[in-house]
Amino acid sequence: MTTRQIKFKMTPSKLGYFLLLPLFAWLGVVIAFPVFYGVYLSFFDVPYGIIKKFVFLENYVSIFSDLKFRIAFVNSLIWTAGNIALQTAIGLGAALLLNKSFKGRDVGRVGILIPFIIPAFVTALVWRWMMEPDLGVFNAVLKQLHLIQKPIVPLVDYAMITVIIENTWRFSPFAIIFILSALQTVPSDVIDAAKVDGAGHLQIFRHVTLPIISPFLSFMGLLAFFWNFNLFDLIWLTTGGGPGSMTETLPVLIYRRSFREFSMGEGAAISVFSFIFMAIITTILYFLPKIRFRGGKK
Amino acid sequence: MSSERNLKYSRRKAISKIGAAAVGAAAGAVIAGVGGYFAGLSQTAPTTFTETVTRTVTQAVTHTVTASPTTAVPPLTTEEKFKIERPVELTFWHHHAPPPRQAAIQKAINLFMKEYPMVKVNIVVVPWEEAWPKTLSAIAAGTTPDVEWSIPDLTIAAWEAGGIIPVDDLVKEIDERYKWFENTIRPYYWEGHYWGVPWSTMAWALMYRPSILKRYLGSPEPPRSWDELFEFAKKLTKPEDGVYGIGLTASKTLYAQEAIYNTMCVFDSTIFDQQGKVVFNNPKTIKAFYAYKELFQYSPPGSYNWNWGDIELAFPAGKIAMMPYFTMPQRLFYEEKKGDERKDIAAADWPSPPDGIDTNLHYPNDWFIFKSAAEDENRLNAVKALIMFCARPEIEKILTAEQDPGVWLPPHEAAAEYPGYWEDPVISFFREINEVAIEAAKKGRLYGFEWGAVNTAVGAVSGALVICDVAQRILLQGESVESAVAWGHQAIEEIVAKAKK
Repeated sequence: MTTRQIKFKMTPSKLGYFLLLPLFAWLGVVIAFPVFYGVYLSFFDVPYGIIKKFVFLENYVSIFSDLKFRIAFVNSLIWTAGNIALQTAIGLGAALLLNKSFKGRDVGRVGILIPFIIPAFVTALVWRWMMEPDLGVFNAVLKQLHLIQKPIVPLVDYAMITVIIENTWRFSPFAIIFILSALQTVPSDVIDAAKVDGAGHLQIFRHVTLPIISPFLSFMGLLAFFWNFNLFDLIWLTTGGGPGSMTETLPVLIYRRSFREFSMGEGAAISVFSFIFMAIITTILYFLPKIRFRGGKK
Repeated sequence: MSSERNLKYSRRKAISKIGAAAVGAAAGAVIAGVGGYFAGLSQTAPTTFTETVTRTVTQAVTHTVTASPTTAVPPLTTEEKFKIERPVELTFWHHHAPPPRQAAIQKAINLFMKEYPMVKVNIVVVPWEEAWPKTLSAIAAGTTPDVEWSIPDLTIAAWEAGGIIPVDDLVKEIDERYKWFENTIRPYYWEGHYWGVPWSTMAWALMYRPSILKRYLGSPEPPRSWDELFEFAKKLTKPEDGVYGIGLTASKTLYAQEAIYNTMCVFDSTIFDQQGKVVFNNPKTIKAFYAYKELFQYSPPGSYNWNWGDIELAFPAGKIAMMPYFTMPQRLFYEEKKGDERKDIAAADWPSPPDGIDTNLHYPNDWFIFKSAAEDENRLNAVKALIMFCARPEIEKILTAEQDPGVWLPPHEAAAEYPGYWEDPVISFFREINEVAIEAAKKGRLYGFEWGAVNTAVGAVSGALVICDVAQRILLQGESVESAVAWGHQAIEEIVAKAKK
């Protein structure tokens, strides 16, 4: 009498890799191929989408000597820094508030998500109308408060700060939710102990809460850096990069250079530069010891 | 002795098996789909009973007009030289999203398919904002449709990308039958050939609200001279009442580019000379921008950022008394206004300065044919038959008057004189406006195409919106006109140099 047992061994790790295969294939097609193709295009003259000839570093020389590129790069830095600072500040403040217990807190926690889920096109349209000097609510409120006599034109006179505020309004909910979840990890007994020791609210925040959530803040800052540096839609829809080049960031310049001026080789070169710059910044931020985050361990 | 086979399967093993099978099925479906797509690219008539039945059922269910090979093919009518010998399916891109426009276009196409039952036309609407990237991407990827509606800037960009074919035969044929307006066909000529076949043109005039003029000036009559234009704009600007004399813009949009050029052209200011050399920085351009700057002060404060929709809202709302614009929105006034307000829209000739020329902006719209359509003679003939069919005056009436009355104007004399065009309810209701429009179309010009496409980099110059940048430097950033125009000249030269590399 013989018994033959067929055992099929699929270990958990093997199963994991197997199930991830479609995702890797998708990432390869959607992300890896365009990235490598973009690098490839940056070494060619590509007018109107036709690869004409190999120009090696000519596109890079051209963009680095282009004043518009330098302006766009500086605008990108201002835009990114402004957004990170505002979104973190508002996110932290609102999260601390929503972490407290009060009536309607749950409604508040849900309500703050609304700006985040509104499509970019709608946000841009609404803000353009709000900033309208004649009919917009912004000037109407300032007039009612007797703060101005003549209407101001925010999207001309303060274009960059206006779009930063607009984008902050849109993305702060993410920062709030992220920081709020970080605040849940602060042990209440530590805070109680601090209170017993006579620490005030500010001292508790500075010496207890902030050190515990700082890895979360750093990671959020990293995400905010990626998202804001690469943001195209809101700026394009609100100002088109104008007036002049006042709000023209690198993504806007890439689009304009590639699809409006039909110089795709230069557009690709600017993209590669952006990619390398972001990679350098990410590496620096990741390896700074203070901000390294590994599931709560330092 | 007996043998037993024990097959042990845990839940995890079952899931992994099912997952593997699902991935395999998905991969198979993708391969089959890709293969089916490429197989479907070749148009062959069904030859078996099963194929015939499938086609018949599909036709009945989807109401598509495709001929079964077993039925007799109707004789060709007027376009005998474009012989369509086999059933063919065409793909036609256009950029007119509003539902009334789509309905009119579909009506014309349906009439074509009725007359040519062997041709099925699939319409794809590509929004204007996506027209350039999608067209150029399609050419680069080899996934072009057969025919597309376009404007000269896009046509020349498609030509630069090596994606389209000359259409001299169609242009000649239509000219012989229907007689083009010369300035409508001129922008499509370069390198010894015609590359687009106009299906309409658009012209700018001075649109105004007679009631607002009467309220503040005592008379509904429009300005008839350049000096009167400025005088009227100033007197009609009443910020306390929320009314402004004129609607202009300084945004970075195609609308702004057209608005600015509409002022440039009356000063005979051009981007290129007849030899294609960049001549943007010249006294005429500087005068034009000074004039635009002076007029702009009578435009609403928020108009610096206006696009098409913004001014088209402001005018019927009574926020602006006048606007240099297309001769619209006639349909809105006809359908949505009541009583006297229905006729509270009029058009006048766009005035010109004493030392200027009598012209205005006009913008022909054309068909162009992709190279991919020319790879098969039968397909190419079907495309040409479509274009010839749509050039008929009675079809032009549908594509112009029914699509959006006053916006799309006939491109040739036969269509402009066709009685059916003038019998359209909206066209006839606003007859005077449309007579002004036709005259404006006959004398209009387009930036970069004043003598045809003398410099094929005009597409890139237009796409870069350099004219808008110049205006923004002057109007929003306080730069001097001379300095901004000089900057614009250099910017255009750089774009041309890159395009010509």
